[in-house]
Amino acid sequence: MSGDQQHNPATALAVDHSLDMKVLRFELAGEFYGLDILKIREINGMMDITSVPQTPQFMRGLINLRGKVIPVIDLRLKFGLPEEAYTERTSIIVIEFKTVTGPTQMGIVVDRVSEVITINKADIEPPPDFGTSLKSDYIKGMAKTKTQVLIILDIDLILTDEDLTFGPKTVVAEEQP
Amino acid sequence: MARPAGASPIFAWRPWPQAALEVVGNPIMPFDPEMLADQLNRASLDLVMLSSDNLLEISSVLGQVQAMAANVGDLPDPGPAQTVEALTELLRDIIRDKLPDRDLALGLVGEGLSLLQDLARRLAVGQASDGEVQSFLAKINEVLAAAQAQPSLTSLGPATEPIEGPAEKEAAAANPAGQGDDQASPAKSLKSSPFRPRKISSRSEVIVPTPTLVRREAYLSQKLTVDYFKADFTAALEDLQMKLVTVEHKTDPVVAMSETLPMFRTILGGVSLLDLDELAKLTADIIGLLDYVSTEQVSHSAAITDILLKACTFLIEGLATLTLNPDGRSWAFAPAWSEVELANLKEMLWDARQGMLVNDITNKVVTSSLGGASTAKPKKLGEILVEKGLISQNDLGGLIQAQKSVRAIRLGEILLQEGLITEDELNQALERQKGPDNGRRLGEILVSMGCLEHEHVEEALKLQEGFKETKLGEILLKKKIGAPEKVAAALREQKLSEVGGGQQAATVNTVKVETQKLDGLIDLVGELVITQSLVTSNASIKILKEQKIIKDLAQVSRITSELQRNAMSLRMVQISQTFRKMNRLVRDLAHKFEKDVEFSSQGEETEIDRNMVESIYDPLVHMIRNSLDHGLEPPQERVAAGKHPKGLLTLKAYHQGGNVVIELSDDGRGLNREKAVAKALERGLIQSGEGLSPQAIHNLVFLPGFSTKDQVTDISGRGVGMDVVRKSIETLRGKVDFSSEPGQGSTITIRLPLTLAIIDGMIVRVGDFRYILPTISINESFRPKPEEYFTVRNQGEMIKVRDTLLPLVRLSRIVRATGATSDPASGLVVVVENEGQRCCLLVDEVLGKQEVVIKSLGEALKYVRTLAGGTILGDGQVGLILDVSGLFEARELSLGGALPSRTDDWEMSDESWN
Repeated sequence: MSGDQQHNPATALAVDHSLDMKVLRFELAGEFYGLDILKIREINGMMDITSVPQTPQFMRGLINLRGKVIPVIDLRLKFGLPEEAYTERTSIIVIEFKTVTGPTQMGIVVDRVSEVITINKADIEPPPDFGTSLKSDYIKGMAKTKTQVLIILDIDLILTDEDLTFGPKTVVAEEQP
Repeated sequence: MARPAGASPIFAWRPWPQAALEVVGNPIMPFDPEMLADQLNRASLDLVMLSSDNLLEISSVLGQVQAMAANVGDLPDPGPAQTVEALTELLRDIIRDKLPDRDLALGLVGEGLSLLQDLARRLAVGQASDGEVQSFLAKINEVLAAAQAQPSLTSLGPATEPIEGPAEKEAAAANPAGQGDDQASPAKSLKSSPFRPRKISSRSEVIVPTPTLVRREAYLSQKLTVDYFKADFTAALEDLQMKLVTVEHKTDPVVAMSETLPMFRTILGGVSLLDLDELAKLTADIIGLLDYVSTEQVSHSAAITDILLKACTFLIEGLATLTLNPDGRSWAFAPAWSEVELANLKEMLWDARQGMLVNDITNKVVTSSLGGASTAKPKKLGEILVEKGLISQNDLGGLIQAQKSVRAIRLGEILLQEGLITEDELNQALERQKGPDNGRRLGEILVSMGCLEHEHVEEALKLQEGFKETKLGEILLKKKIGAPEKVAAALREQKLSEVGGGQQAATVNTVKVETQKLDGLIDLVGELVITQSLVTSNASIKILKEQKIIKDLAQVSRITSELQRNAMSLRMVQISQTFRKMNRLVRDLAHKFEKDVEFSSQGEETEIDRNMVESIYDPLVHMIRNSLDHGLEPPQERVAAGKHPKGLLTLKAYHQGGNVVIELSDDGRGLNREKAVAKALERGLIQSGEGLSPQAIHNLVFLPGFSTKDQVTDISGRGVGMDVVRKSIETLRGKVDFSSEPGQGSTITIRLPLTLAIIDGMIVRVGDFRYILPTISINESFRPKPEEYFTVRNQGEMIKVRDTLLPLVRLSRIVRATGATSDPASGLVVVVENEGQRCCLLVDEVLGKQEVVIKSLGEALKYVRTLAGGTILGDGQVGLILDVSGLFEARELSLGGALPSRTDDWEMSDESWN
């Protein structure tokens, strides 16, 4: 198990490993975020994006993922963070989520992807009411690790947000254990 | 969750599970504009095609309208809901035969549907309904009130019970005699006999009304009574059960299943007419499940058949308890099944919809068939039934006896049942057969006695033939021995044992594959083609001079293109099935219109996209109806015009230039051009008939509200006609053309893309962006001269194309492209057409023409109306396909808001044009 929890022997005994989850850690404007890896289909470098008219700015456009056409949103713009030029570390994380018409894929652009870490759900605290620049609806919670605090995102909510689809919600809510 | 009001005290309506509510469409769901549009189209098609004396068809329209009520109920704007409610009321009264002028009333229904279409369009752009709804409601009120001799119908509230209202009481008082007549009429006695003639005709076809139903004399005299519903709907349900039982024996069970849909919709219309809420809801659930199966959202399985059969049994049992109260105008309904049973059944229907149905019958059949496979001989159904303990050996003996006796049913009996001859006449004829006319056939004797016509005998003989084919399974169902689902299981087992008996060869040459997998394969093949072309065009490979590499690369590209062709062909099916149905339709209709028609079809082997087959069915039916009704003349008129008395109707299909062409031609009277123009003027569809080319006159046929008939007949002429056909073809990205030679006949030509997956497109550049325009909606493109550009007050910019001014739409403004030219003379205008509207689209240049594979943009972008989809271009980048109708909408919105700013340096010369 990760050393994050073992530094405190008292809590290590109480850790319930059935609550462990793996998250992908990525960076956005200097802050660290976590994303449940079960939602992630693949990670790509920057690709050619075709922009789509009549969509909000954060909807970057469409990419060709091996013959499939997939929409891509820029998470910086979606969260109202300042726009920055893409670098070679800029990545597109392809997320798969369910809708009424079946599984759908969507890409999100982030500054850089760092690693996969294990966190315990018991360590996730509810999102604070203030202090971050984004709507706390999108945050599942804040996970403490030894070195930093990760913002765990509720990616389903982000990708099916009404201002993204410009219409009624379409996602099938996944059951949380 | 609130319980819907109106649940009967006998069993309360059980609320749906919360999860189901969120996922699947159901009565309390939010408004769905696409669904409404679909429902409206369906209802208009139904309305166009019905005959005013066929109550079943009218109640089918009622069913559609009621489905809309659930959809529009939640809208903040009451307009659509009120219209739907008024239509419901009107249709009910039509069916109850309260309105003196049925055709007029049906015309009103058509008006209401076009009003709704109009409202739906306005809803889409966020406009509210206006006074039209009120004036329409007033019109309906007037008709209803006049018919009921009531002072006025102040509100169109929930349906009034037929028991109430003074007019009905009067009718009730006048009716008892009529009721008695009904009971004694020959039609009635037919219904009560176990083997009625309609059985045979409806076995193979659902959409075509059964002969008894269209027989005027049986219906015109018959008032709508509970008995009629009970008898006819029970019979219809039994037929449906029989069909469901045999569904799995068909080569394509899904198609066979969806063929039962229209009949269920009709039943829905019927039961809701009688206010049998429980039955209506149950039927709605059945339809829901069938919808899911036919659209292949749930794969068909034996378990689904079983649950459907069970639901049918419930419906039949429910109908059986329906009794007419002594007052003759109201009815009682008290089914024996318990609330729990009904709730369970409904839950199963919903589970099946989600594909979660676990049924032991399926498993059982599989295991027993494994055992049965070793026995070489195919088993008889009876043996299986006895083995399963469904019936005893004794029963079986009796049943086989019954089967034999049915098969040996006598001509005389049939004629008696049909009410064509009386018992006396039969006895007389039988006497004569024994005596003087010995050796002659009964039919001949009867004809010679003048008791009946020769054709009646033939009809009866056909029926007799039909009885000879009566299957054991049908008898079981008729005699109510064994539950239908069990019989189905036994039949299934019989089929499996046949397969085990060594007849695999015929059945295993097809594989059922999920469409999703197929699409995945096609995607990958497309990608392979692109990568292959990237590799071959790579500069460092091109400089290679080695013979071997060049040869191998050529081989690779040959194989990839072959692979692509093969992958595409997986989606194609032959059109023959649809054509065969048309053949039957022509025969039935010709009989109905009393016209002599020879039907020939060519090119049945032409392949067409599987998804398209269903969608072209309704338009084709409508076209054929039109040709038979308007096009072909009655035999006398043909002879007078020097033609052969037999009319010729030809249906052709062939491939032409990457399209599938379907052509329907007749050698009838053709379109009367003067009359067409006069009608169009009269209805305000055109402003002037001057200088219209023959082609332009032909195109009038496709205008909404157009009809050349002087009088609204029972099948056509209601004005919701060819425009519906055009709309359905255009949604398939196809085109319809009409051409006609007076006195020589007319031809309707449909041009459809080979497949729905590929579109022929023009790649246009606007600024830094590339877009694909579907070639089918492009008329022409040219570079306008400065003097062809105008601005018209309140209309925006216009381009003069030959003699017409067409609005100019700057594509760069709609898609917010940067770096595009603002000067029309330095760009290019593409004239695009949609639903008869045309406009000029300003682009920078046309880059080329290409066939592209359409890809969905996914849920997130489905609200971007200007885009029809995406595609992968030759360089691997994503290209966007423009939706021409979306562009028109975008233009209207921009006009409705602010006029485009006049930033151009162009000379305005609008004054000369006003």
